[in-house]
Amino acid sequence: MVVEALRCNSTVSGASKEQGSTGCEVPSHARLESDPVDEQAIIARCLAGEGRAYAVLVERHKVLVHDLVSRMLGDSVEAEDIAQDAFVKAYLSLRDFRGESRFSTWVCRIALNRCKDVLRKRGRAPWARSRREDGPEPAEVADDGETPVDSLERCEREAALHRALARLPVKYREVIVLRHIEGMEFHEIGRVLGIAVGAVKVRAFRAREMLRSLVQSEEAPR
Amino acid sequence: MTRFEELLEGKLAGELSPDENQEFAALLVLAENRRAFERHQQTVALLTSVERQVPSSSFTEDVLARLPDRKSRPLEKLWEFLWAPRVVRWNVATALALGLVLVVAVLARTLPSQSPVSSEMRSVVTLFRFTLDAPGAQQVFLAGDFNGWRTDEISLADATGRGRFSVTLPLKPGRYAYMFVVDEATWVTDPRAEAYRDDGFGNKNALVDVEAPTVGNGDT
Repeated sequence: MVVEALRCNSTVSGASKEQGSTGCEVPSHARLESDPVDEQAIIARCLAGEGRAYAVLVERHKVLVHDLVSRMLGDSVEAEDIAQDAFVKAYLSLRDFRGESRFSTWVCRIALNRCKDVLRKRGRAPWARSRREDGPEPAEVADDGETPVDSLERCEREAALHRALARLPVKYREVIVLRHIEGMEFHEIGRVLGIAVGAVKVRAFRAREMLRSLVQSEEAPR
Repeated sequence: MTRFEELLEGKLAGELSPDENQEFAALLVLAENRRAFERHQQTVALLTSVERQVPSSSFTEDVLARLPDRKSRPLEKLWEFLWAPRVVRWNVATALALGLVLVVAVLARTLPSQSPVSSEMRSVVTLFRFTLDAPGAQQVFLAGDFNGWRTDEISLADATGRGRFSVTLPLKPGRYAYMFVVDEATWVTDPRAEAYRDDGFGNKNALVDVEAPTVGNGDT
């Protein structure tokens, strides 16, 4: 039964993108909402001791949680461990999940709290061990007709963005990652961060302003 | 946040109404606003072009390996023992003996029971009364892990008409988390609960411990 569910939900984890109403691309995975009734049933099975049922929830949300943690910490290796931690912590607290929000919202909040713990302990700028910091690995070069020069420029642009994101204060970084990389709605971000929708919008606006100038400073020749 | 900034945020999210779209278009007459809009569009485009970082292929298995067993070990072993396939050899004498045991068991069941333990005693529960003072509330429901956190199942009655809502539930021994749901929207923690536990969202679930396996009355 678990195997069947995993197969059904494998498309949810995809990283495809589609055109948004403003002409900007928005991640389509964010729109694939999981059925809350179905999630409650899975959670009930987990609580009854069927640990394997939890695999369905992990499969469904692992890309979101892993990517979120990776962007927040700037370290894709550490992200794997922290994202797994978040899922384990969510499992241990399943009894307290009342189903007011989606499971993904809940586990994202747990993951963000873990990220803040790590950043506090780290006490220095993130991005220290990012695999992407120094450009792409050979396998990451796109093969859709992109020339090596285009590929290099794209990678440099991405690297500059990642460095700029790392320099953004955490309270702005979390909003920009949730909104524009993970594609969450404002109200959902409000739930994850425990703040009002209006505050989310203000932070999103300011975060983009700050990020833009940081990217420009990163791209400027040294 | 200025009106323009507010509308810009809505525009980027594709949430503007036709009227707001017109208002936004009018504000774009100003060159400064147009430049700001372009700047934000470019930043959004840059962010959404970022490829997602994919976890390792063993991610889910690794998570499952880190989960503690919810079942207790002896129970799990018993379960495996019961369901493990094994070869059984038999002969006619064994089959006859088994048949005899079955006949005796059926006869014993049809005879009047001599056992002093009544079925009533085996299914003892504790009656627990949940009460919430919510003057002005139209309706109050109780949700907890004893009913899968369903918010439309256990209704509390305001018997006095003065906003004191209560319901009595039969509960088996154990620890239960619960909350009140006032007017279908507001989750309220029982201010008189025995204990509390974080719900992961900054609020607390109330806890009740049902211990004594005898018929009695509790009151929250």
